[in-house]
Amino acid sequence: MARFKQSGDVQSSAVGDRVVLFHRRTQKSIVLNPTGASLWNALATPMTAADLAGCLLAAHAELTPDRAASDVAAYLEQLSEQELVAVDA
Amino acid sequence: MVGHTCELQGGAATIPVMQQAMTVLHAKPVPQASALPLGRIPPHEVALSSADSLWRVESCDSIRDPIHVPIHDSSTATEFATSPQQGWLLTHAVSGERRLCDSPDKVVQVTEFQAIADLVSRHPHVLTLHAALLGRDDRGVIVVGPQQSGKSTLATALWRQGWSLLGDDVAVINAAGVSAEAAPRRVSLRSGSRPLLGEELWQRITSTPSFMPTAEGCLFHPAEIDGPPAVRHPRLVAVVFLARRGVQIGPAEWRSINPAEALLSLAPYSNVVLQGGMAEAFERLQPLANHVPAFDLGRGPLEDMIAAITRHVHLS
Repeated sequence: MARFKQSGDVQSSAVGDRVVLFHRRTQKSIVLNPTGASLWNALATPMTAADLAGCLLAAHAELTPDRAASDVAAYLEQLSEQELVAVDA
Repeated sequence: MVGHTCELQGGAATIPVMQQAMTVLHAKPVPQASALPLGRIPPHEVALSSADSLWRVESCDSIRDPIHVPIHDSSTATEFATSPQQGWLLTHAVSGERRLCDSPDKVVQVTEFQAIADLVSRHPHVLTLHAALLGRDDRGVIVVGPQQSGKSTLATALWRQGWSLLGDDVAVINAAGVSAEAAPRRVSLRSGSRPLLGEELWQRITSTPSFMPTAEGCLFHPAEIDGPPAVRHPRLVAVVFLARRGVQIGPAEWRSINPAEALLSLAPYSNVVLQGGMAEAFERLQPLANHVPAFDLGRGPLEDMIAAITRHVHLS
């Protein structure tokens, strides 16, 4: 199963409870909201989508496992489109 | 994706904004050296220690060959090209850059401008914002906005209401991001501000020692009207954005900005962008964004805008 991690091309700046991501090559800036920021911090260590969904469930008990999995999938898809995450070899 | 979980905000629109802001920063005619008394022939060496800028000034009885001097002021170039006269040649001790001036006032203005340019572009440890800085008691407010956003008008109106107008163009931010001081230069008033100031105050300004008329209005030191400001390095209590890109806001409306958005919006106004790019700007501005609340303020009646700022400062 693929393991995702923060891209080495990305600088992250924690500001309040959010994170500003800046991709040095594409020069794009992205703000992650608090939940996105907590998942980003988790991606400092390579993780599978299931691992991340587990993190999300741990923080949001009201979520169903299916909802957590779909949200994480969408999150990773958006980060991947922006080249903000890499797949650990 | 649903808002309560993970959401991406912002985007790639940052770079054009950055380029625009930096163009403004460099194109805007700037400053003057308070160390030099106006109306007198400047000394041969002019140094502004705060900016570590050193210019050698030579008085020339007749400048007959202006073509070989890289002149950045086209009006001065034309004048010298058609009518050789007494002038002053400024040479930067480090870069060798030369500027030609036709009056002592111009020498002061160019030196002051260049000192700030050095401060902004050549000192990696200095963090500046293209912004107005105002103080009240020990508290400071930074006003940021693009050209024609009303920044100078608001700053002038706040000054009129008892605030210290510490600077109108460049604020130097301390490393911890909690205080600021104005760059060492006179402030610029546009002619359009004259009705706002009133004729009596305008006349007092014109009689101050540092007053100098410019094409847009004038330059002067507010301290020569008010006396020294109570605090030169006020503790920052607000960063106020005028006409922030992409923001719809009502007249004089006061709206909080989350710190991350503030960081994104502040970076283009920083000198660090020119030296280290956006990544370094984000890093250097992070303490400011984390410690000082930021707000959008809608353009509206000045008294309402001032009331919004004053209300916040009193609550801080």
